Amino acid sequence: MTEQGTVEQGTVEQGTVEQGTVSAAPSPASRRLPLRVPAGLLVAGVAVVAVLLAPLAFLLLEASGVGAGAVAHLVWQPLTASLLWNTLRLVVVVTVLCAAIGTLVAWCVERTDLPGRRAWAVLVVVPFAIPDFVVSFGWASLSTWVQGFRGAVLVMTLAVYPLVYLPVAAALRSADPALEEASRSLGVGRVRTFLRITLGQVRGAVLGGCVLVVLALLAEYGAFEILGYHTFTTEIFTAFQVSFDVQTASALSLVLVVLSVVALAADAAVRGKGRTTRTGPLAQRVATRRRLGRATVPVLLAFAALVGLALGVPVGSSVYWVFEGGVHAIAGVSLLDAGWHTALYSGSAALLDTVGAVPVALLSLRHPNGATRLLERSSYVVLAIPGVVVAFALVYFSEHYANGFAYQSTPLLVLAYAIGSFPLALVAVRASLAHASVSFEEIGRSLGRRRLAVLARVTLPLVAPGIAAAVALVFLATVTELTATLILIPTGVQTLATQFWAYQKNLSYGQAAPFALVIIGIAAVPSYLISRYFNRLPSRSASRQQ
Amino acid sequence: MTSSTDRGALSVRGLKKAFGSQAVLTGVDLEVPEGTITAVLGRSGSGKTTLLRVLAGFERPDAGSVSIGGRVVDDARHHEAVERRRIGYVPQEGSLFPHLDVRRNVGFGLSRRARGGRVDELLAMVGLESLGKRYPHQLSGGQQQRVALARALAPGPRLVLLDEPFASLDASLRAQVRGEVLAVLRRSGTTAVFVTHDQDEALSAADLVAVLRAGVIAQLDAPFQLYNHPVDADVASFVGEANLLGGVARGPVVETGLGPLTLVRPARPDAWLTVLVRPEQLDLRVDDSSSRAAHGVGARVLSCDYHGHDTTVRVRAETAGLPGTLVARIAGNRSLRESDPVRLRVNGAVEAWPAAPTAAADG
Repeated sequence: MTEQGTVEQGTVEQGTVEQGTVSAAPSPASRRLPLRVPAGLLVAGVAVVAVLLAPLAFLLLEASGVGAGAVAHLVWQPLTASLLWNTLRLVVVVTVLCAAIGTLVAWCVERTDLPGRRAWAVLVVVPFAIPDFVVSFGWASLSTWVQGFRGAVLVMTLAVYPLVYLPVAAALRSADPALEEASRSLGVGRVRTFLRITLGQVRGAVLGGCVLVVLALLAEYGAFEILGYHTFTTEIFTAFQVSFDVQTASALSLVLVVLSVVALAADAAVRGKGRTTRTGPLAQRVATRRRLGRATVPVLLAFAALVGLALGVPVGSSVYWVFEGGVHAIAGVSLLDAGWHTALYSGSAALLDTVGAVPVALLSLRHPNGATRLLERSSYVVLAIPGVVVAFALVYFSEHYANGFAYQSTPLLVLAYAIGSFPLALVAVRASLAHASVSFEEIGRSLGRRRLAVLARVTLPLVAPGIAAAVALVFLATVTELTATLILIPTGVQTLATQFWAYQKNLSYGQAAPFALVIIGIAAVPSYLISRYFNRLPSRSASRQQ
Repeated sequence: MTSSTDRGALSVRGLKKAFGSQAVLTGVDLEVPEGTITAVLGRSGSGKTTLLRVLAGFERPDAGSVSIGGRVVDDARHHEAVERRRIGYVPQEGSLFPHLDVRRNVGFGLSRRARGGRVDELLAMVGLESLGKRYPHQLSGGQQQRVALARALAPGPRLVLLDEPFASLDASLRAQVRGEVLAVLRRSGTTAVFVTHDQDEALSAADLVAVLRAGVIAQLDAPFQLYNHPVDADVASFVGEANLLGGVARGPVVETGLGPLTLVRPARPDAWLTVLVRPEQLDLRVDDSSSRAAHGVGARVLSCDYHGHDTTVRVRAETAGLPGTLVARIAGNRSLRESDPVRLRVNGAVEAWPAAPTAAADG
């Protein structure tokens, strides 16, 4: 007894020391033995993240092949400076406008007695579903005034402000109204309470939304091409697709990725500083709504104007061109064929992403340690790689490692879609997995069921809403994808987006318009579901409390 | 090593568990006989939930062994997976699967063939035959807890573990649900271990109570034994209200500020002792001419906490060598007021332990 006792004690002490160095914060989730992370799960998670980071690796390989001096030479030229100026002034102006519009609209919908709030809540999100290049087409095909910088500001603001609206509205819904009440009770006035408390509570959401806006602007190709506005993305595309200047394309891609990484890093730095969390349980009480009073009519007019400009003009313009072009111009067969390919590619990418997101989310939430958290964070780096760069890197891969075999094949296109949209799937799956308590899984196992059976019968049914949201989000994002599609689509095949693009390039607006309408129609459905899903989250957790 | 030959329902030896640098269990030994209900009683942070989670197999111990039904499930070499242990686990909130109805919750751990009849049998056992089609959110807290128990019992576990099973219920409901759950456990003859921080619950509901303190079991005993013969002063105060007096042993009695008290067992002559007097041992009478001569020492009432069925009375004794405050319990139909003069006497024999010299000097 004593002999074994001392031996055991020795191993214990070793174990404790080891753990003390690995994770300083003691938590019930910390594990002494690394073998408790199932090997299959770990392998799956690492494989997923490796695939996600491959494009970046290829880009760096390509750049290192060219050599540092040559890259510097390619980067330091007048073209880069003018592109940088174009990009930065657009980013600053559009981001500020989106932050203002998104926050004000969210506050009106969530915190005032605005008539028709439920309808507005859906209507202001729908523009998110309309691809930027369709909004751009809608405006540019009507007026030559919408061109260049001013056109880009107008079109992009209307197209991407929902990226700020959605997170801010969600934050306002879950923000604790007790803080505002406490502030008012301490003698601080309404306006100052709004500035100091309400804005403080949603600051993280506003900043997060702004970063998404910046990333969207950096990655956009189609809208700027139509408006004749030159950014890094349009120049990369031209250099690669038109003049086959691979070196310029890769040098510009590097600059673009660096800009995106800066945006992401700034977000992380700001986010780390001040977190607004609530101490009590979620949504135990709804904030009292501010009465708009005499401001009701002006606010309603402003909402109508916003929806008219963001939703009415693109849709109306497309409808106008359908009738202008004559019904005979609609090629029903090509529409069906393009629709089928769009559904095939987007559906495959949505499934691939959702399946890939499950192990990464499980690792980071159910087996949290330094390694699994790093794994999860690395997957978000994808956000900083615009579609044109992903496509470009995959082409490089196919040429150098697959002998051009997979170039312009279905799997490569689906892979490009899946890589670009992975963070959307991960966010959705992770959020619902975080809601599903671990104790359900533990009980499932205590009743004699193995890990995989518990995953299938307990965990996945519990996170079903998150899985559905993940599929819908990725589907939506990829239906409207144009840039990578143009580069990677198999020869002789058209998707809705590429067929639209081909027609509008020939100025055949009448033939392009039906494709625009179908894309809007397809994308609007999941976006409606998404806004409903976002709306349901707080009320669901509230009903569970009772 | 004898653990492999042990025939008890649950046998724990030298169990240790730390999270990071924080040691939670520092050497737990516990024997639970077949067919009994054992309460693990501890303050919050004493490690009782960790102990339960190690027994269930959710956590792997750093050292020590666990055997269930005579089979080793945890030791230095091997760790049996949760799903192979044949234990039932009932968490604090019940944690019924929200996406399954009551029948499918109860049948979760059963094979498809075994499900039908066994589910009916269990629902009848917990008295919820008519609620099979309901979903968890349509049940009251007490019903959820009974379904959680039925679900845990369904696969015929060798041991049922319950984590603060009644803590989330309203006080009015708690005693009733506790009674129902315990009745079901006793009827099924299953060995059960539940953890609680509530002394009343542990003493009234369990056959055996294990007091967990600073990561070790301080005492494992039947409730009566635990309350009347705790192993030390700390356990005594934890399992109930206690007056701790200093005293000196004189053969079968101990000399204290309340006079000579009979010891439950003789102590070494002239030893300094810490003496336990439970509030209900303290006989308290109004100070009048008839009581003054015969009845112990004088005191004054400091405060009264009226509970209806009884009253907790705090008094200050006029004699030196006693704690500043003594606690007594009187029937609820008697009435005392602040600063009333009373007289105190101790009924029955008292438990005592050798005192640390300084504690005795404080007296």
